[in-house]
Amino acid sequence: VKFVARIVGRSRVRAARQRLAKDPSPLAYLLLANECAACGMVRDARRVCEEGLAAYPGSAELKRMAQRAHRIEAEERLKELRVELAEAPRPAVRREICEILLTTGMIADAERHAAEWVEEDDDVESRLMHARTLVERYLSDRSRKSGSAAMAMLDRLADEAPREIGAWELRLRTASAIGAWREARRAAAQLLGLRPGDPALEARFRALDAMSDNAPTLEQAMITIERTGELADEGTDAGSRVDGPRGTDVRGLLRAMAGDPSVHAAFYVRGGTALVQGQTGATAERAARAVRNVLKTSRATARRLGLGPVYRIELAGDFGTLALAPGEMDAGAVWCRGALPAETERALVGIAGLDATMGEAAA
Amino acid sequence: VKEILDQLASQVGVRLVAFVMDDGVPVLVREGAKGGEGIASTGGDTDALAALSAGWVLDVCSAIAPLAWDKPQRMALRGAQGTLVLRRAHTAWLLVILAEGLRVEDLVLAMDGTAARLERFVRGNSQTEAAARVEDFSAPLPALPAARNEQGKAQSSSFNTEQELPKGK
Repeated sequence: VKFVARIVGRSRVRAARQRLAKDPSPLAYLLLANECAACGMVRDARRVCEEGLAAYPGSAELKRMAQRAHRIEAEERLKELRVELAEAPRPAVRREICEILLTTGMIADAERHAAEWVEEDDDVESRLMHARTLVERYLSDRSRKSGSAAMAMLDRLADEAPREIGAWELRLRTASAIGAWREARRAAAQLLGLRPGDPALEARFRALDAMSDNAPTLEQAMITIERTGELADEGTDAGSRVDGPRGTDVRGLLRAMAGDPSVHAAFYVRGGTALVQGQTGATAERAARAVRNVLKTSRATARRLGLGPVYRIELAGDFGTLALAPGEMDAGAVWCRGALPAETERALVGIAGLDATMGEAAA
Repeated sequence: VKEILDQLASQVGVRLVAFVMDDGVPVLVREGAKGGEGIASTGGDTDALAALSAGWVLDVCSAIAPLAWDKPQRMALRGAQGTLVLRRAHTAWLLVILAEGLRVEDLVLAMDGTAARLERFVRGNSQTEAAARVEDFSAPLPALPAARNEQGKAQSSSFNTEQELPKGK
């Protein structure tokens, strides 16, 4: 039976590959990765996801699938490490466990493990790893509470081990990510004291020095990040991506979705612009504005609740169903009668993270 | 209500169940098997969780108001660390936090059932209260305020108004 299942699975993989070759889209990559995973070809699934992410870096679903494939691979190694840890606990094993958990996106597990390590050893290395997990958590969920916890840990490290380069690098990275330039400048200055003459660091310090006038404090920067959900270095990425060669015309996909008789309208939102299919004129504008506002408020709520990056928002009522699939910089949305059809749901997932070009007909 | 919520909280993957009023006041909170401590930013503070959820409902309702849509019956917010699901139950909301990786669809039936039971319960209570009120007002009001008996229970006046009034007037 297994042999037959494998043959059927491989033929499905082949069909998915051909589909991908004809129409490369995040959805096609996702389907191929799913087929590979179903056949037990986890490594192939991960490679497909990585290839897809190289073409569509904003696709949240592809990222999640890649993480899942990577997680399955990493779990094997984790099993070995846990056995080793039980037999002979030592910092190198703990460090590798934390590294694997962080790279596979299991931030909560990494944080738990690092906290255990701190309880056991309570040395600079364990506390640095704990601080790193807290920073990763903050950069992932962007809530002020996580940020304060991470900065408190970094402050403690700065007091107890002021010459620890890793801690200052982590502080520099965090402060730069959230746009607290004055704090970043302070960290860069400390690092220059520890690593004098580093040309890259000197250039960084000069750039930060120029930006530190009227820069927000750490607390102010964290409040802004919680409200907007956008890190300081993400805004520039978005700007460069709009004009990049990666853009995909999303209109065809929206038209196909809106063609379903149960679908009232399909939307693609990116920044302040939206494409609408299925409605026209003022109605389309109103609907697009509503979708944008729902997206904005939902992202902010998820950050405040600590739910992390949002994958899906769904509203259901007398009006039907409004489903949104947010990517990192953009989002797809469908308003349909009754429950969301499976086919439309798959198409919606494919639209998110396309980073598509908007053209002239944007609403 | 506790029993009704407990049944939902015992479902696999449910971290927290709460019955929250429209203004964000939690009436009752029940933790699932995994516990609600993982709801990161609120740090297990269910008051904050309920208030933030109510704020989300308000924001979403004002966002969709220009489309003349009614309040949603169900709202779901799926993130990397878990899922928040709100289901309207009479004049309040049934709030559920699901563990990461669990789909909302897996719990829709159970939530609908729980919301229906809560609605029946709330409606039953309000009907009983209304009936009691009707019963109270069906008899004419006494001229004097209710007197208290030895046990401290309210007792309507046993005086006859005719006896109280001087005869012939």
